[in-house]
Amino acid sequence: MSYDQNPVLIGAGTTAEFGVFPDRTILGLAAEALKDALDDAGLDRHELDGLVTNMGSPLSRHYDRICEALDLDIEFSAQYWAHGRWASSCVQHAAMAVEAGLADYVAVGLGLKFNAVSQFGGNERASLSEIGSISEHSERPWYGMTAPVGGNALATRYYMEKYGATSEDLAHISKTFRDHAALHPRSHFADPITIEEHQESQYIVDPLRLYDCAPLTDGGAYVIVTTAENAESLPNEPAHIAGMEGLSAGRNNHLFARPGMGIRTQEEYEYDASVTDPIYERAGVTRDDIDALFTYDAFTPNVWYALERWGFCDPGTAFEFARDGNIGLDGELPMNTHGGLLSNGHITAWNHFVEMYDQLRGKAGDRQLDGADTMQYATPFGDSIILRTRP
Amino acid sequence: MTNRPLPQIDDDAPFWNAASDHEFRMQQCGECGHVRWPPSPVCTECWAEEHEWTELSGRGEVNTWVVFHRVYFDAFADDVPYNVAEVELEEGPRYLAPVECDNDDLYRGMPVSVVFEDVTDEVSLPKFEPK
Repeated sequence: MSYDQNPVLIGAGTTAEFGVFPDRTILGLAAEALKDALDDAGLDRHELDGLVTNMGSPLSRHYDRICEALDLDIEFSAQYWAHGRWASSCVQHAAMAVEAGLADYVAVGLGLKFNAVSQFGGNERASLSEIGSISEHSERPWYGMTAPVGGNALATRYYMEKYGATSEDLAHISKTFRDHAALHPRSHFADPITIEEHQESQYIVDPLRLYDCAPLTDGGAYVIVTTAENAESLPNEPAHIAGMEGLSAGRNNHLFARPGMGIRTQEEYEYDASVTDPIYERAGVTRDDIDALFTYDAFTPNVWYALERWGFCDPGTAFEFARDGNIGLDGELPMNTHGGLLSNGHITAWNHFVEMYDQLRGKAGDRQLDGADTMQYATPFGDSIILRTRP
Repeated sequence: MTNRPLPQIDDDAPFWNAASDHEFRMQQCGECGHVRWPPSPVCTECWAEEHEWTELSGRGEVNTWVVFHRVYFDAFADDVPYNVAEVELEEGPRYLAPVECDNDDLYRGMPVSVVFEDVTDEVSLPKFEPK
């Protein structure tokens, strides 16, 4: 498959800091990040005609309030729901919009204040208000079960029991991403941690400890999507959206477990990623071409699920792969080179897209991977985007 | 217990009505016999709509579990650390509920059976105890 209009990223911007900012507003964070992205792209705000976001209120702001407050004149808007998981769907939606001629320049991202409304690892209010008696994260408030941390911990215990992985294996993921974040000037948490500190940190929901959970971060990040033709008159080298795969759903899909694992409504079966992921064919690459993998690491074990879901590791082997140094900057498959949600900051993966673009254009500073020309964003939920330096 | 969260009952009303009578019922397809959970308007095997809310054995095995150490719900502040387990029932579906045992005693494959805790006049919560 190829995309006729050749959608690209042409700019990326963030707030100057990721952290906890009780005195700042969501709109202020959004304005700072969007201005940074437009400046980077070489665009005036009046040239922007598309806006896509994965969240509205209360964590972020609805698209119309953003446009009104920032004086944007937008002809194509889309807003997903109040979940972080829709970040790549938003980039896909923007790519489809420029492909279909609905817009020329689409800003994709948000400003958000996690700390204003949410609760670390889960949310009693959301658990009670968003759901009926059953929900996809495994919320069961009447049993004291919140989510996402609860649902993720359920899958993690299952994985550990089935394959022999341990909490110490997760510690290596925390430590690696913290080391990456230490090389990023805007990281929410940049102080290195040791395996021992991870192991001594408190359990939040056993088997997940404090350092297995991403923080609640305030900040903002946007990327700008346009066509390769439009990009020719702009200063930056584009990153080409070479392939896309949408979010999976169904009885064998779970937000926090590879298909075939056997929790919630999943059947237990031999999962073979090689026959399930069309994105590589669509992008015209193989897994061996992927220079770095970015995943939605709201919790450390998401790294295991992503590695196995996307076929970089066979089922039941990702914990060894991640433990043995392979996901570090010098490893076989560097992951979340900015420190991910776990340490760079929980900007619901918009910071992942900014980092991928920075890596592809050689602007990743001390984190820069040599010769990196192909990046993949891919979540345990099944959605993915492959970015390349060339079509 | 004050301020205890209660189920928001909608398409699973027959489940909760049965639970209040201390019966553990789930949908069974009238066409192929498949027992399903969570509730669905159609059979998740054959898409037939006909079904009845069949009483189950209440027996199963622990498939996976977690132990909450952090307080997310005020009503559970005195209970931490408390467990929530996913139990694979004899009839196939998996149901999420606490197991009334020492958290350290939980293991995968642990045989359990359902018990009920009366919370209000209308709501009784299915839970499990080791068998």
